[in-house]
Amino acid sequence: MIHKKVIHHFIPHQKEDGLHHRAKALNLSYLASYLLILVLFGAGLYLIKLKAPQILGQVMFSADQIIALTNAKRAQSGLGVLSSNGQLAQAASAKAQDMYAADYWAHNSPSGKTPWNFITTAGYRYLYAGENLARDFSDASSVVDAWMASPSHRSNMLDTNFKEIGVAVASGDLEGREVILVVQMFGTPVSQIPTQQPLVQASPVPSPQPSPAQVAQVKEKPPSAPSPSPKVSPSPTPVSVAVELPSLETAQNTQSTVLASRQFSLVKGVSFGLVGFVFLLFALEIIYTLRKNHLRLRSGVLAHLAILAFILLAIWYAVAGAVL
Amino acid sequence: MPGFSRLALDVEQLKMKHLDILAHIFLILGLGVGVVAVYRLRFDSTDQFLVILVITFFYLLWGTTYHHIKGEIEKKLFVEYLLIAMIVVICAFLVFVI
Repeated sequence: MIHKKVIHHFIPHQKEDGLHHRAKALNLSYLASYLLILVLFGAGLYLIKLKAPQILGQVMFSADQIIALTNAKRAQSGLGVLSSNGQLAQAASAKAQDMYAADYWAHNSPSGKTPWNFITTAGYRYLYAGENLARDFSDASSVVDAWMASPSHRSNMLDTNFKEIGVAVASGDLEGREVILVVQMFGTPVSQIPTQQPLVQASPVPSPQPSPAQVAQVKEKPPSAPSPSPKVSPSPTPVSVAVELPSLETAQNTQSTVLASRQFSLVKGVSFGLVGFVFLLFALEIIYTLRKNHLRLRSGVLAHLAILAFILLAIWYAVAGAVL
Repeated sequence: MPGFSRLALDVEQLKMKHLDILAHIFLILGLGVGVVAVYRLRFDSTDQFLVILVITFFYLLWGTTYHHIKGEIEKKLFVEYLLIAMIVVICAFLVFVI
């Protein structure tokens, strides 16, 4: 008798009254309690995130990992690796801090600063430059996978014109939420060979103004730079110039590391588990009803199964974060 | 005329069967569009949540309309649809917004 009571919780049955009864676990009161569990879980998670986020567990997430993964993707495509450049890293860091300070999520700041402003301010004179942005990811491989899945960002990642890379990973408060920003700057310097000659004063290279639609995949190059050397040709081939560039550091980005919460994977797991359980109960109802001729399928069961399948797929494919 | 009544009943049952099939095809198509939209927006969580909201509203509207046409709409059934819709929305909120 006890086992029957347990089984009746999960499969439809016909009682002595001759009426068809759904699985008890699909009664309205049970459905309401599943909803309550989700709401309480969400509220509890929010409180833990506020008071003691370390309970959720954290994953280290660094700029070096982004660079290594980017180079791995390039190697898979038969391309050369990008060298880590300290000035590009500095530009990326400055861009991340500017986004937090001015509270925006865009390639161009509200005050009109472009990615090229940050690059040139860091002292990097570029022949080509590009920028990828990402936010809210919980690990480096998800960021790189997201960029590779987007044609414009993939184009930057696998561009043969780029020779160097700088990445910044920074956590902060953006648009009222605690986020992790990833700024990836690509570049090819005007000259790749630093010389020992004294620095020659040259007027600053005017910043190019890319159209907004091209920002994510810009392969910008400056117009002819006024210098005492032969004029810089607009061709992709770098031309050596008789000026000393600021030393092109190749320092590692080991300082740019954040701890990302495991919150997303926890939420995904719990949501998938609970919805999956309800989905299985409805599926069991359909299977059992089809097998037992004396039972009939309740109205709406197919629709419930379909919407639950939809949200299960959505949760399965859910990725924390966005790219720009 | 029992034969005519029986025929009328059969025709009515056939109509209901066709309605069932068409209605469920319409539901599956709508959800299919939702799945494609959610996949394509997989790197924009806010838009994904909005798509899920729209699809959930479509599901509620479909359920109400379908059962009303079939003449079996009742409070308990509507509450069931509402509870499942709320479970879907809360899950989506937890995964895609928070």
